[in-house]
Amino acid sequence: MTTSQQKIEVGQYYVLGYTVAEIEKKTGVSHGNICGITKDFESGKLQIPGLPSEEVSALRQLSLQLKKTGLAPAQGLLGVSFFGRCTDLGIAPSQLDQWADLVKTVSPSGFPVIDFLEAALYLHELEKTEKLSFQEIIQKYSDIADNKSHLENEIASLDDKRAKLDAQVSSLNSEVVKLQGTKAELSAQTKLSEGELKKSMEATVADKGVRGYLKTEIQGLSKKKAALESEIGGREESLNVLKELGLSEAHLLQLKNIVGGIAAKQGLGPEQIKINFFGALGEFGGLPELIKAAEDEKQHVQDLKTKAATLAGEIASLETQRAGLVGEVKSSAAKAAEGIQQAGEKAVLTIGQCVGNIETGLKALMEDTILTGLAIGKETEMQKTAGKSAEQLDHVVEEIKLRAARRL
Amino acid sequence: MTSDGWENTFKDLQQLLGRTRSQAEQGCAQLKVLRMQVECYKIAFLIDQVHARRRALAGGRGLQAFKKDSTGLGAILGEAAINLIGTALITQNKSEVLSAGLGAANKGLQNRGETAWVVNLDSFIVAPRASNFLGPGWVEWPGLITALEQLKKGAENGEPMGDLHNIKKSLMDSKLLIFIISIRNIDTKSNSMT
Repeated sequence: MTTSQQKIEVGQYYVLGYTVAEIEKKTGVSHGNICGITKDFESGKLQIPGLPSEEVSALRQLSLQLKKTGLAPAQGLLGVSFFGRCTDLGIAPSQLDQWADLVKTVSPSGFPVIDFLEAALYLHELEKTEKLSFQEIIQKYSDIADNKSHLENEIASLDDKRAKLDAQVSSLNSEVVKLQGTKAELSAQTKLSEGELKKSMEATVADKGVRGYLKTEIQGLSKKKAALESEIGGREESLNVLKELGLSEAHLLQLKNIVGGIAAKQGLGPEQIKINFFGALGEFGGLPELIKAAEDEKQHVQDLKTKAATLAGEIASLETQRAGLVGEVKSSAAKAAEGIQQAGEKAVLTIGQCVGNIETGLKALMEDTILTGLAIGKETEMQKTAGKSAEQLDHVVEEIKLRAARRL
Repeated sequence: MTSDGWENTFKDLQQLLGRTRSQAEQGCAQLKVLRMQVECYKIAFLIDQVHARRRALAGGRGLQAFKKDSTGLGAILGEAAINLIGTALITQNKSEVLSAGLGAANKGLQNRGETAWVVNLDSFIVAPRASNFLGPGWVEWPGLITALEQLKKGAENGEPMGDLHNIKKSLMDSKLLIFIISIRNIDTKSNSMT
């Protein structure tokens, strides 16, 4: 016969998660009776003082679960406390993974956090000092770089042009030198021709005197004409031709003298002088044309001089333009470098200030963290003590119950 | 992140740390109270157990006494009936009505069976003083209860009680109990001499 105290004891062991065999061993009640008693406790027919019958199954399940996971009741209590803390902090169990993901995202692998922080601060200060967004700064920098490369291209192009113009100028200079040589030669020839013409004119004037002499001579000789008509009959035709040309024998004589003089002067034979004279006349179509050709040549030389002066002016203008562009590029580059340096110095100062502020904040945070850690440590210590007390309470209760059962 | 962003983050973290610290301190205080309650509960449970044992023994003794002499049984049954009817009128709940009636009857039986009790400090066995369970470890009921109440006050002040062995040691070391036991030993000796 099982006493009511034994039944309560069976119920208590049942709630504490003991197996039927263990209960049988501890209480001495038979297996069948234990099954019947536990059913009565679950159905509410029997009651453990202070324990509602509807909680019997739930408490047994809890005890079994704790045994299964190898946890002591104190650890179960700690778990309940931890769950409560999480709930108080507003962290649902489903959010723990999100917290872990957030930490992983903030600290990218392969990139030191301090570098990430410094880069972010530098960019931020650059944005503040320039009063531009990061994208606008990048755009500005790329514009300056494009402009610089464009100016460099222009300088290179101008250098090419200058080299070409230098080549053209040197070519034109050599041409001018050649033309000046030609002009000097032509001037010399013209002067020579002018001298010759002057001499010819003087000869013509002298010829008038000679003509008077010849007239008297002819008058004197007219008498001999008749005598000589037969002798000079064959030469009359030649004389007529010369007369048609306007040349008299005096002319011929004079020409003979001229040719002789030129030949003596130039060291050439009279035949050669005659060939040169007639060649020049044939080439220029006469003396006026020869003079005109000399004037044309002079004009051509003058034009070439004008063209050379124009080109020299253009080259000087291009040089000035180039110097201006180079100065502009240097000025822009210096301004940009100065701006970048100033921005960098400002950024360094600002970053220094920020780092100082962050250091102060971190110190304060560290102090708070230490204080919080101490408080949490104290709480953990108290949890352990309370857990130990709870464990001791369980043992005390169990031992007192066992002793009470033994008394029965 | 901007400078303001860092400052805000620091502020948020400081607030979070402040809240956490406050919660930890609060939790520590609550745990302290809980631990104190647990320590108190150890003694309270022990007191309840010896009281329950005493009441059970008193009930049995009362029943035996009424079997021998039914004087006063009518009054007890009358009181039980009044409780039963009164509870039935108020609650209409059968089990409560029965509990009230039986409770009143049991209380009557216990009152009849009450006597001077002694308790063994080692096993916490309760026995009537008349049973002559004397010797080391046995103390008078009022002395034990007073000593336990003193321990309970100590537990309320945060003193750790430890396990049952520690509690027994504390009781044995209690000056009050030492005094009571010494007095009792003197009495026993003098009785035996007479």
